[in-house]
Amino acid sequence: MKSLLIFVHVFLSLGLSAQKFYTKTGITGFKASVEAFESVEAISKSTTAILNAENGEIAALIFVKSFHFDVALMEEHFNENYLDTKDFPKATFKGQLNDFDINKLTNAWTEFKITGTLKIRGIDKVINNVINIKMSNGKIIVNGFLVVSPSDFKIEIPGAVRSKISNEIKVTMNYELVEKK
Amino acid sequence: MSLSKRNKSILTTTFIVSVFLLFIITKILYAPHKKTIDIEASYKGNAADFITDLGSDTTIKIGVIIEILGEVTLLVDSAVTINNRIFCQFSNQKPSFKIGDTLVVKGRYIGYDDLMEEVKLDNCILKQ
Repeated sequence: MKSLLIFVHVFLSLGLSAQKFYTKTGITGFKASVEAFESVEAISKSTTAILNAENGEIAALIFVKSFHFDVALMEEHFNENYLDTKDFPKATFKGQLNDFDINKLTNAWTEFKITGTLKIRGIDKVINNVINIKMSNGKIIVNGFLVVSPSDFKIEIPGAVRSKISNEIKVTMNYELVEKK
Repeated sequence: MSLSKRNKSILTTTFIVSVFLLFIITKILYAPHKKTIDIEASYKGNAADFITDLGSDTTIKIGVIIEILGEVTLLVDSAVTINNRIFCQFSNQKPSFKIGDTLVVKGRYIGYDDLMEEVKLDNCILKQ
């Protein structure tokens, strides 16, 4: 009887534990360049992202310090003067993929609507967007982009460089999520 | 119209000084990134102590270089997890060790990952 109860408990636990996919090395980039001026862009290869494959909940975390610029001084200004990395080291996203069903994923891109909250410098911005997802060799590949503005997160651009930094910043995401076991 | 000897001298000096200034400004503006290997570690110790010291040691700030000794518990592409709690991402070299190996890693502390409940380091290099 006792062993039957243990078996039922283990079976139920397995059944209830959500199937999750994750990455710790997701690629997030952004581009805020203005034509005719020096390129303002950076990339981070350290994004953590987790997808609950059963209900479509998705969360991502990126350490602002991990954004790498080609120009070291630009990276220093980005962290110290604009993103205040010392006080706000993380940017996060928590959201929901609408009508997500892992069983319907194929190796062709499928568009999903995503809604959620992006938090940068401690300021929340509601995001309604579309991202592309596909299944490849057991991995869930997430690919998308969104456009934000420095003013969305109260990032003040000094007058001297205002014309050199775009007001529309294109953020790109490329994550390969593997199953969490 | 020919320039006087004095004017020629002023022009030449101005040109040389301008080129020199431009060189210096470019050197400052486009200085290369500092490499992990060239930066003195702010913290040296073993992985278990680092996790304990994280909340209390004021020298451990976001962006500092640390050097830790620990055991490899997970290998993923270009990264390793040490003592199940410290995720180290290598920038150039692919890790060629196996689970259970003891190693010393030097890298940049970029923060605590709430989602994975582990510390994250990037720009890591292998010390031994």
